[in-house]
Amino acid sequence: MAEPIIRVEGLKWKYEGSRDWVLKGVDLEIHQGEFVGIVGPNDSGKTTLAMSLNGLVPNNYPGVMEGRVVVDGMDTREHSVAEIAESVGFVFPDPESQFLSMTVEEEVVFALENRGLPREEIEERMWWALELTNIPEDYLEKPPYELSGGEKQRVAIASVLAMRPKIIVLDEPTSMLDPIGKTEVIEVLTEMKRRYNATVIVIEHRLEDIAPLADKMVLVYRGTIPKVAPPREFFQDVDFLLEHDVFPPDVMVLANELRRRGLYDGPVPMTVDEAESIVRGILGRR
Amino acid sequence: MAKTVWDREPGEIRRPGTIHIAIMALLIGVGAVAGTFGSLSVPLGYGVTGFWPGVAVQAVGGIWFGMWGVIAGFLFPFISNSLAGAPLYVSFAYLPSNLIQGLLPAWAFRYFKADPSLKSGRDWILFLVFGVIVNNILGAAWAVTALQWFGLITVESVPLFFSGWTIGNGVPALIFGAILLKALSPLVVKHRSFVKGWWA
Amino acid sequence: MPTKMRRSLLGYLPVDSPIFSLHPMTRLLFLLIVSAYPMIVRLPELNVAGSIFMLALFRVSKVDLRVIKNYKMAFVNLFFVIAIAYTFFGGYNPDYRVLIELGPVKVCWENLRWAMVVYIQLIFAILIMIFFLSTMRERDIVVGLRALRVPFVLAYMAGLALRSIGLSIIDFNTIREAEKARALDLQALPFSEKVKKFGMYIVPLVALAIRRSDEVSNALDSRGFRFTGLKSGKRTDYILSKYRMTKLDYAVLAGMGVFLAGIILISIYTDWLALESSLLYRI
Repeated sequence: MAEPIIRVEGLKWKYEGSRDWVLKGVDLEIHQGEFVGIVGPNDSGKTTLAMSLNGLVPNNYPGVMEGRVVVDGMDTREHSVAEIAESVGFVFPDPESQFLSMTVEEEVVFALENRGLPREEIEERMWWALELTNIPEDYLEKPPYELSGGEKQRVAIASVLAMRPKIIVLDEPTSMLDPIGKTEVIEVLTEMKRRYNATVIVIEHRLEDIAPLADKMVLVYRGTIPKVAPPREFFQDVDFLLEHDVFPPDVMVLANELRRRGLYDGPVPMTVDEAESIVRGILGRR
Repeated sequence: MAKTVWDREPGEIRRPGTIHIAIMALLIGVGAVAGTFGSLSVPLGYGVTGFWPGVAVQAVGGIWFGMWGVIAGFLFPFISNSLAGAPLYVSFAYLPSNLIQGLLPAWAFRYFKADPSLKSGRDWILFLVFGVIVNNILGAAWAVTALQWFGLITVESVPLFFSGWTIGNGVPALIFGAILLKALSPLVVKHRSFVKGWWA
Repeated sequence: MPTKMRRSLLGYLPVDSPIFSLHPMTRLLFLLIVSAYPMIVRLPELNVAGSIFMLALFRVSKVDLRVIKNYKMAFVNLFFVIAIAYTFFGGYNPDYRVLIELGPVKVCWENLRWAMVVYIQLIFAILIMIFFLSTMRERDIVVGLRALRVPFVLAYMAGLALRSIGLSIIDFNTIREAEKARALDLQALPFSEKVKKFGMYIVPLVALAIRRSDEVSNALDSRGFRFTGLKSGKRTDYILSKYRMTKLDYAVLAGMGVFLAGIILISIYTDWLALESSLLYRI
């Protein structure tokens, strides 16, 4: 099998001044082109894990690190965040906290200017990213912080996509958005999956949206990774997830309940359509 | 001699980075807002006010963030005065005053190794002398001289503007400077934006 | 159809404002050059003409004149400060014509006249600043500075600083709402109480700024920004390349420069701009 693009080996991390390890010896391998969903309860270490993938941990936070993280051949302790940014794009939970410029256009081209790309290439990448994230042309001169929540996060994603990184990490990109904004961002993720063959790692609470997109699901729980599996296998044991404070989508809980009552013994459904056909099947048998 | 917050750990490498650019820009924002609050409360004209909390941001900015804080304190009154309607060259004229008001406490705390958390009487005295009294007297002296050069104030009104600047800066520097140093220094000295030397 | 607007530092400006046909560098230099006029010229008639010219520029540039109304109190306050400084602290000379005697204080015509000269001069200077702020966006300032070959990191810091003022205002309002919810309304308090309670605002404001600095720094690093001092390295200036200096820019710059040189030379070699030429000095 090909060498993983991300290799996390025995990663332990403790923030300065804290007694407890946030990550307690995490191992994880992610391959080129995989779409990975990371789930887990609050304060389980998901964000720290995400930040360790682009070097923010340990480069920008004082703390104690053991083990290592190698991303696209770069050991995160030996490379700066700016160097790792050549390979890893990072989308933060709060879109406003990541805006660095005064117009959408400047925001999207900022990283490309930093790389010193030719003007024509910057322009071509900007239009590509805007199109992929469905941002209209007349937004270019608008201040990004005046847009709606969903639009802001789409601009943030476009700014990262324009870098065309091999890896994109999205840390709870919908957590600060209203339902419409969440849907807009999920649509962008779906488009990314369909059209952009990068490695995408999404930390997300909306499992019903992420599960159908993901190639692999990772459960982070109290600084450990107790489960890594393809979605269908990952959600197979609903009780295990509930024990780890992860609440699977309703369709999966329904299928689990049907199994418990002896009405169904197949795999858990990933979508409402799949659940519907299961229920119809059961009703048809009766 | 006991270890102070200004001493480097063995092998400690400190370099200016994006955190310093960020803290400088954000300090300009805070200073402008605090400055505007003062400008609106007791205005004496030409940006001189009877109560200007912006000076607290200048003093603590220099103490905590070295030259980044000093530069922020140098620039934010220029922006806030301009937004409040001060003519460009009057704002320019104040720049040396704004520089000294942040630079002097920054230098004194480093030179005398005073604790920014104001833990001892010595720390308090150094803050009072260099962060409240001398810096503001020097700042006021320059500012009124500049205003007089521009012909914007008369020689006879110099004492009014001088005392207005000194008291209007000194009182908030003492009250808010001390509050900020006491409340936030324990956090700031552990933050990566804290500057032990002049730039990092 | 509603007019499309662009946000400036002080409000909004229609996108079809003629001011946008000028390069941001020209507009930045306008502030630097034209602001020098009232500093050199004291003659009230010329400063009144300058103020009228500025008001005309406001109109031509489609700036909403309500922006000037926001400075009404600043103008009134300035008037009183200057009047008091020049009448009560204006000094006395036996040659002066006394208008009113208030005990030991003599309000003299010569002092009052000087106050008027300074006030008119400042009005022109302030109108220039308001015009600049009403027609410039943060982006224009950054582009203007970059066009003037100011190192990218400095131009960028200027933009970030301007933006952080907006962020601090948002933070300030958030804190104020939180304090209001706990029954503390600073605006409703007398000044001495305001001073006492202001600490409750400034501490969280600075604490939020420190927290935000982490976010901004993380975002800068994550987008490949390398702090290399004043050297920009291989950075592309894509945004700057979207702007072109036109003949109009060169004409405006030449006009401003020639006018500045003209008033400097006239004030050095003639007494045409001397205060004695003013109508006020013939009264």
